[in-house]
Amino acid sequence: MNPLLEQFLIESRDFLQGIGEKLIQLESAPDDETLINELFRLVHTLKGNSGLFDFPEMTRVLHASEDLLDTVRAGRIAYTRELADLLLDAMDFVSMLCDEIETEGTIKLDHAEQSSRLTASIRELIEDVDSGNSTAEISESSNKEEVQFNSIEKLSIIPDDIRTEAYRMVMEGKDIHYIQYSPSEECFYQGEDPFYLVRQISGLLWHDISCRQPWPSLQEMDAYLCNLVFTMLVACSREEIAEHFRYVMDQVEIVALSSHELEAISSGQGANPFSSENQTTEVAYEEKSQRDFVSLSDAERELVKEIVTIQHEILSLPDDVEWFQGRLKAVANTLSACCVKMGKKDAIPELESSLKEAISIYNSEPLLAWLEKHIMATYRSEVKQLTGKEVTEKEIKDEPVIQVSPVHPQGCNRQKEFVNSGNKTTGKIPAPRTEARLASRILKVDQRKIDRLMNLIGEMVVSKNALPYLASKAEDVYGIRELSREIKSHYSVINRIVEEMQDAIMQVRMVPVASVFQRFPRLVRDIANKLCKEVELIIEGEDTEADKNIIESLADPLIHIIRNSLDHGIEPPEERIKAGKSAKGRLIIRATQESDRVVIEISDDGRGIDPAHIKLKAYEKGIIDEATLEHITDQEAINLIMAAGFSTAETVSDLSGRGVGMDVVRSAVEKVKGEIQIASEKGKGTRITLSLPLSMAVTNVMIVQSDGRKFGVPMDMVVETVRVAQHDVSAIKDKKITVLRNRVIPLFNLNDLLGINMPQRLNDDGELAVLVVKTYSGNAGIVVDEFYETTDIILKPMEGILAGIRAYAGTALLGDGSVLIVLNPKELV
Amino acid sequence: MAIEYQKNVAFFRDVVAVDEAETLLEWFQKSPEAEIDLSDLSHMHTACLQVLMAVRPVVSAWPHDELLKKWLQSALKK
Repeated sequence: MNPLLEQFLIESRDFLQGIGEKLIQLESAPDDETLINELFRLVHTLKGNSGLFDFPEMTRVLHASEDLLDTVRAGRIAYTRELADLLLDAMDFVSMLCDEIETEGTIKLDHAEQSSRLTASIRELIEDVDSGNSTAEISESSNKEEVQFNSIEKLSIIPDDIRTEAYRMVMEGKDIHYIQYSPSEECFYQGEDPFYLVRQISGLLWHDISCRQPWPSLQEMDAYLCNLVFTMLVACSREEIAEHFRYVMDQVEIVALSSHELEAISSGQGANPFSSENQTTEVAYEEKSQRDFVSLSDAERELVKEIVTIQHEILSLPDDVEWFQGRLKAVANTLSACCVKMGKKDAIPELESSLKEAISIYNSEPLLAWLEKHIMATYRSEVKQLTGKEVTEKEIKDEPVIQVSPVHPQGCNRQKEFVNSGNKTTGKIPAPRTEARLASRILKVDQRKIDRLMNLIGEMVVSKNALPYLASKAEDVYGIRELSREIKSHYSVINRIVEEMQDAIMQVRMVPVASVFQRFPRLVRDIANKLCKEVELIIEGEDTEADKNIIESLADPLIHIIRNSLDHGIEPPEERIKAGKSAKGRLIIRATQESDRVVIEISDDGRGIDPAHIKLKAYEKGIIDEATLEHITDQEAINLIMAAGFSTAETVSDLSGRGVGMDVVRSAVEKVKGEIQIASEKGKGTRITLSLPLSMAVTNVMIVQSDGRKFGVPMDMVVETVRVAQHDVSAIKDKKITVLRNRVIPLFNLNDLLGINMPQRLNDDGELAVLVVKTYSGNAGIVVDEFYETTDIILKPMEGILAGIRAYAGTALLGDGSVLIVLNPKELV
Repeated sequence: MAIEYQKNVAFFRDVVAVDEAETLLEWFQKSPEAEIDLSDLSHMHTACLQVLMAVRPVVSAWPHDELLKKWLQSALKK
């Protein structure tokens, strides 16, 4: 992919995101001029950018959207939900095209039609306004029918022989399309050569060039104002045509022709369908009859047999009558018709030659011979065969013909598509990829490159930590103090660089939660619309930052939770009013940073979770047994909704209720070492709290010693380290405290907290080493024996049975190969 | 030049580009009875084609290219 295109895709996502946000904001403030102007500018720029590339499908939709917004801006059309839906659809489409360009490098041909359909719907809205109809109704299907009707009229100028040929091809299952291409008047200024374009089309059966307006006098004529209309009949698929005309799709009308239409033209001309002059009709009649043969009933087949037998009798009559020639022709005609009905069309040419021969020799014999050979013989060998295998084959062969239909049913389904738009966000049209957004202003780097750098830096951190040990080893073991000092000075240089590197890489990887949150307004809007619920979404703390991986891992669980809240939590307006709540439900998504965790809280004021109901359901589904059912607490019951296979919904909707939701959420959150908590009160609402680490990489810890053992304490929890003289420690009841800068700090001995039966050691001056840390209930002092250096470690959480011991945050490997236990002071105190 | 204007005949050769249309129209405005010879034509820009369609001159020779001939005949022979 070339850099320009890459840049375009990244920018486009930014723009699309911005457009989506503005569209939704506008819904609550439809008269906000600044918003509309901004929106217009975004769409305008995006359109301009897309024009740099070969993506007519995208440019066309954007151009139409831009025009529509211009109409809105001019105040000629009100900003309605329908309008927003349409534009959101259009932007989803563009976003999908972006994704496709990124993965495939190009846009697939089958999108050309969707693009013109969207463009047409948008243009229709504008035109409705222009024609003074502000109700803006989408009536695409009726329009299409009109087109079809018109083209049938137009078809009549096609010469008979070509139409016959076309008819045959349709019957053979080929696609025949009628194309009318009316280039725009200004097309020459856009470097187009319509004539060249139409000359290149394949499968051309017939063509015509005519003028749109009567030609003006030569003196008044403008040679550069296109006044031509090209009409063609081509034998190729709609996709091929769409591809051929992809730049000018909006100027091209394509109608798939069915046998019915080709027939209709002829009869519309008032020609006798049985006249041999009108070949199309005759062929049509025959072909149709041949198809009809499969539906002949037994009784009808008997009748055909009778007719044939009578013809046989007629031919056996004496030949010496003056109407002999007419009689032969009549018999031949009848037989020919019967042949068609019986599916024996192949025999007709021979019948005709037999007829000629019979007339020339003035004898019925040739016809009798034909009759004997082709029909009577078959009759003798049983009629049944005709109805058997042969017929089924015909049926199959004819199938594609029946499917050739000029009406495009997609058009009528617009409304349905709207209804499903909630689903589309994650379904058909992939949600816009937003993660690239934050890096966009600076430099675009492949994430893999950053990950690699990150891993390398992680290794570097650990190996750099080995240097101090090497220095002390040089001194203690080998007794080379000079070398030790030099290693130490080098270490400090390396340490500084590595720290900066680490900081830099973390900065690169940190993204605000907004990158995930920004898609929620649209999601909530779509789902709420679909469920006919009124929901107010409040998002707080969008600027909270966390590692990109963590933020990304949040997206799916959050979507699940929001869907659940909207579907199961928030009640329909009537139910809410009955319960004494406001009709509008409230969904709050709040992100905060809590030391090394980012906490995301999703709360609603819906119906809450009923523990009794959960217990019963869980029991029914076999998730808990009877004994558990008896003693389980309400909170435990609520937590059951995260059990695999649990679902309380009576019916499975496409939003939630499949019983995979919360289970998936839990495993997704746990994968990134996060925690999930659910609190709910029946009738009041539900609050789900996700707590995730800020980063999964390096943790800075302070090493402390107590009873000869070393422990790590995460630096971000450490407020300060102080030496407190023993006489400054006082006691309130049996709790030890000290006063630090006029504040009372409770003191805890680490040995006591860890169950080590030893007093804390004092230093030579009789002072205690106090580590002041943040806890849930304010600062607290932990008394240790000795402080050591701070170091960077890669924290591994406790596993297995140890995972339950919450006083420990995890373990880490130190530079000298020893294992450091990292404390979690919050849980400890 | 892809169009060679002689006294009363214009010879179209190879590819007649869009910028010829103006000249062509002016030429026809001066000599409306002129004929055209398309025998060596391989393509004509739409703009020129529509000038010819508006003028309807006598075609003294159709292109050698059969397909192009059919196209032009459908436009000019009505």
